[in-house]
Amino acid sequence: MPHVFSPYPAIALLALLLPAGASELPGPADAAPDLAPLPGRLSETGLYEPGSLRLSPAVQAFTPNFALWSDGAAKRRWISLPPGTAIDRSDPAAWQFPPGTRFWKEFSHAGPVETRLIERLADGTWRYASYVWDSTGTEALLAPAYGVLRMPVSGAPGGVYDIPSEEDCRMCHEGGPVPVLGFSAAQLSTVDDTPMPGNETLARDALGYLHANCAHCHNDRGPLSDIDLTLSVADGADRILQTLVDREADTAVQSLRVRVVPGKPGDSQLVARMKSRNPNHQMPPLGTRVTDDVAVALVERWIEQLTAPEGN
Amino acid sequence: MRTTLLIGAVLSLVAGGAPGAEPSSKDAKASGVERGRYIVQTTGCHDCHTPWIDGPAGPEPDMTRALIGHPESDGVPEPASLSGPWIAAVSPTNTAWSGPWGISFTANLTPDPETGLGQWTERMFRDAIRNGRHKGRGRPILPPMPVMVYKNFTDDDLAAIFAYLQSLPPVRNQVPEPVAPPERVADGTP
Ligand code: HEC
Ligand code: HEC
Ligand code: HEC
Repeated sequence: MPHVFSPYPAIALLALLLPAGASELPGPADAAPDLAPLPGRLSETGLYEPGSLRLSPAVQAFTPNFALWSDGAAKRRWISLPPGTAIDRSDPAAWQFPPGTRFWKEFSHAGPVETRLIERLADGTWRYASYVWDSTGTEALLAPAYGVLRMPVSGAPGGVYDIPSEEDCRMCHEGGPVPVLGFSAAQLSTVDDTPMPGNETLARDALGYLHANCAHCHNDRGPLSDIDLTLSVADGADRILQTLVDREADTAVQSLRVRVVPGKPGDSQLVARMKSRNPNHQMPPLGTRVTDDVAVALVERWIEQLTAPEGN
Repeated sequence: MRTTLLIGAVLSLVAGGAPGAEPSSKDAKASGVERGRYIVQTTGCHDCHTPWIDGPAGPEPDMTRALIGHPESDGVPEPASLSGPWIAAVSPTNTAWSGPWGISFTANLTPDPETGLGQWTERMFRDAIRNGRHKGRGRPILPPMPVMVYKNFTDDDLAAIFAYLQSLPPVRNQVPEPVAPPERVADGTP
């Protein structure tokens, strides 16, 4: 069984530390309190102890095995569960989170830039928000739902930073079986148990990267399922390889037609798409303006040592 | 025990409801196609997705090529070079557009599996219009596709439009990929 972190002792305190905004909520349980409008300030979401920037004891930090590339931003992540609740982990591919679960993710370039919030509501739906930090780093305010394009941020590449729109959040977070992407069996387990072909460490790192950066869109669901980059704890890498190796892409990119040519990263469209920041070709198609050179080199090395599947 | 009984009751309700529901959902589908045709004809899809020709009474959409998008045979023109206050240019077919976003070509909306919407699902169509993203989750859909207007369609309207488009005869027409503006290609790798 994968190692899974357990937030429970801390969670019991949550009841005592309801966010400041909670007192303005429309009343007792029958009024569906979590359908209240989003708090206007990050300090009202329960991440910090009231009146301070000290983390609330009700939140628990976590780090996924493989991170999403966000143009070099540093990130921190936290979860809180309502008191007395637990995560249902019976399906390793789709953990179920109780209503009231909250996740935060903070992005920094030199100082904090934004903190994103995901919350599961009483009716089972999820909502998404981003809070933008003021220049002194003392408070973050709710960003407009349509996001902020090219916000000036010193330290960010090119001095600009994009806050995603709520639709952008949903585009990445709602393409798979659960909207939570970095708090899952694949992302928290010790991955050593996952069966890997070829050079084990290299394959694990490369496929882990593709899982974190691509599998929220390219998974076994929906119309993009023809290319599946989900690293599954149970099945390892077989399906990923099947959907990539020697498979023809829908459209040519820089005249490359094949997704992955074993041994030839330069002939593999997947690599060209990862390198490109041509808006019509780049992968992922949103959330990044700058190529992740380290990851490109990693995926290139992985493709170099792949051999053509038997029977070819 | 009690829960089991309750679940049993609910299941039999569902089972009882199902056969009756089928004809009405077929009707709904047929009326969806009709409504879809009406919306497509009144909200401008033909303006851009049906190539225009010089008709007897002046330029008009060539309805023999309804909704096939930019004709493959017209190829990929050079970007327009504009001067004065102008920001964009359009081909005589009204299907190729040149502007600050590069060159865009209107999509083949017929259900051809390889070159049109044949492999699209209703969800993909709805996501594309709502999110303004290619195939629902990809690159931004380029101007002048009026996504800011069409994202206001209700789910039912979008379902009706999709049902109508899927009821058209499939036409093979491989629309070219859009061309990014030179500075965007130059600042990253192509
Ligand atoms: C480009 C895709 C993408 C976009 C856009 C995006 N996210 Fe995420 N998000 C991810 C991925 C992948 C992870 C997990 C990996 C990581 O954290 O590095 C994640 C993690 C998170 C987490 C931590 C919980 C979790 O799911 O692991 C929060 C909170 C979060 N995102 C909120 C948001 C919000 C709010 C928005 C919109 C304002 C947003 N995200 C937009 C891809 C995206
Ligand atoms: C936000 C959703 C999203 C994310 C994240 C994403 N993709 Fe894609 N990808 C798409 C869509 C939509 C398409 C199909 C449209 C297109 O070709 O642009 C696509 C197409 C592709 C194709 C061409 C497939 C074919 O057969 O034509 C490749 C290869 C690809 N993506 C690789 C990746 C890689 C590698 C990553 C991660 C580094 C990634 N994608 C992340 C949405 C996404
Ligand atoms: C003013 C011109 C214009 C009108 C009107 C217009 N379109 Fe478009 N449409 C375009 C252009 C240009 C593209 C190609 C954009 C691109 O490649 O990014 C496009 C692309 C599309 C796509 C493909 C999206 C994708 O994911 O690649 C669909 C579907 C579509 N249009 C449907 C419609 C429907 C339905 C209507 C009528 C309700 C309509 N369009 C009206 C110009 C228009």
